[in-house]
Amino acid sequence: MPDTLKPVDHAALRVNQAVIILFCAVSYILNFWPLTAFTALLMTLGTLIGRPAFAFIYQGFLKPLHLVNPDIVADTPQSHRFAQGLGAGFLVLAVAALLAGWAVAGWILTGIVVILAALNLFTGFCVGCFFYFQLSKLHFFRSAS
Amino acid sequence: MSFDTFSRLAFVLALAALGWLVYRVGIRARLQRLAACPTPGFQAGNPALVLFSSPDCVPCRTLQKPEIAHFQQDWVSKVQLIEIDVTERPDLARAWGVMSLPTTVVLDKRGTAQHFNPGIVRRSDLIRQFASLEKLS
Repeated sequence: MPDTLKPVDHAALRVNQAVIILFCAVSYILNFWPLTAFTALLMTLGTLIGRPAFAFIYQGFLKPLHLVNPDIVADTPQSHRFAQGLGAGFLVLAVAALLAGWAVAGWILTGIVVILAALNLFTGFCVGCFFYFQLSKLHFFRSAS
Repeated sequence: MSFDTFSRLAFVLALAALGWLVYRVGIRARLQRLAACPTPGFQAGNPALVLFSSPDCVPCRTLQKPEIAHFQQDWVSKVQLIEIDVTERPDLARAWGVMSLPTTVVLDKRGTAQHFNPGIVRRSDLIRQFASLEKLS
């Protein structure tokens, strides 16, 4: 398999999922779409540079203060990057819907991201990674089989 | 706090509670349904870890098996490892309700499923799950 294994800090991924859930939930509760837009922006940037969107919270505060300990395993970072990109795509669509006045559609799309992140955080099942590996089997990605 | 904000907060909390309830009830129902599933190679007397995988499952090979190997360093004499290739035994995968790979199932010493783990399960979680079996027995 051409997919290369690299050290991936799963603690950073879990913090990322928790912050995404928190921000999306707060944006819905306060009916404040800019927070969803901010989350979508950071997730998109994170996907482009290949880092968890909210890794800076983990790296800057939680890890130095030993509130969250590193959990580094050899993993395929591409799958997590794809999963984050999938979530970012949903949130971009959600923001577009909210801006267009389709509030119900926008919040449903935001809710989907919350559910996907919660599934990963609480059960360890990464839906985006699942799709990544399924697409890899179909030779959808050049870097993966 | 406005009524709108309060109602949205209540809605989110209700959804979270419902999600948690569905998750717990789903796990319990699944474990009860799995009680009748066959497990080839299981020998009563010792608990077992059943790993559902396939040859082309990348995370099975790169993540799950190393975690299990690490776990077995401490538990090798106490736990049977049963690996099921779902490409050879799709009937078992269907019977056990395996939707994704890897999936691991923790069986107690009678062969009753006690924990069902879709996705990667870490060594620390396996230790906790098998330790809970020892408390039960």
